[in-house]
Amino acid sequence: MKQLPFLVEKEETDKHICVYIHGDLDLASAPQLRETLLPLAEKDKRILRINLKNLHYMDSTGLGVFVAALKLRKAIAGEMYLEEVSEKIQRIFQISGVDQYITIA
Amino acid sequence: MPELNDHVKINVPARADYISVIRLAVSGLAYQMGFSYNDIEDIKVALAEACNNVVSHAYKYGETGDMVVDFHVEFDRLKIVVSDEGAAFDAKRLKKEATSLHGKSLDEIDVGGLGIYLMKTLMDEIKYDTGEKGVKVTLTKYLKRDEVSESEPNVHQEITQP
Repeated sequence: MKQLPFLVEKEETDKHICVYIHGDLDLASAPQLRETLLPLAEKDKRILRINLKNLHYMDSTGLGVFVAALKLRKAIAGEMYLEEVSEKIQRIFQISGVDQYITIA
Repeated sequence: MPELNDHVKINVPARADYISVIRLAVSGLAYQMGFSYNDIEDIKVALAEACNNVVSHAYKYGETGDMVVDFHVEFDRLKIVVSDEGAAFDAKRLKKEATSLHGKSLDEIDVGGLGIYLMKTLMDEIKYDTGEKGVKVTLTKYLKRDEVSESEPNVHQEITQP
């Protein structure tokens, strides 16, 4: 049961920025996501897509990063949505109530 | 295979990078006890939230300490006790803050209480004990129970379930 390293990748086009999150998003890895995602959420007006296809675990520390990003997006009226969210990750968004603020494509 | 009344103890430094090790351990143990995939995921998140609290709040900045996780294999349940030896945080305050974000606007939300809320929602029972030194959080999950509902969880309920 080898644990894959946490990785955040970025892909950009004229209209979109896509952030791919790989691995486990927890207290140890959240700062790494925060560092990449929050500056984009704060300043870049292109559509921000966050791909969670390879996100295997998330808890409240991950929710905290997404809520911080959402608040920054709202301040600059920028679009942001999540895509390819697995059932177990979606459940954490639903139980916490964070799903009411974020579009899950 | 875990047997009745087995006691497994993990003692690690209270650091964020050890929480994934604890998650892996509980996945293996819960799987061997016969918990469903969904229940194992719930236990992993709830236990990690308890560990997050130890790492983030138990010890003062610059102070080092341990995080101890005790797993008790019981007939119909897995009981997990997470303890530290730090300056006891105010468990009452955390209980009060532990709410979901349902019905609130984005501007007024504070994610601070979400970890405790998830713990309460994802486990069947949760109990705090604050001693002179440190905090103990006891998390219990019963075997062969239907998926937890998303309604407000019972907190500090007595053990009355089968």
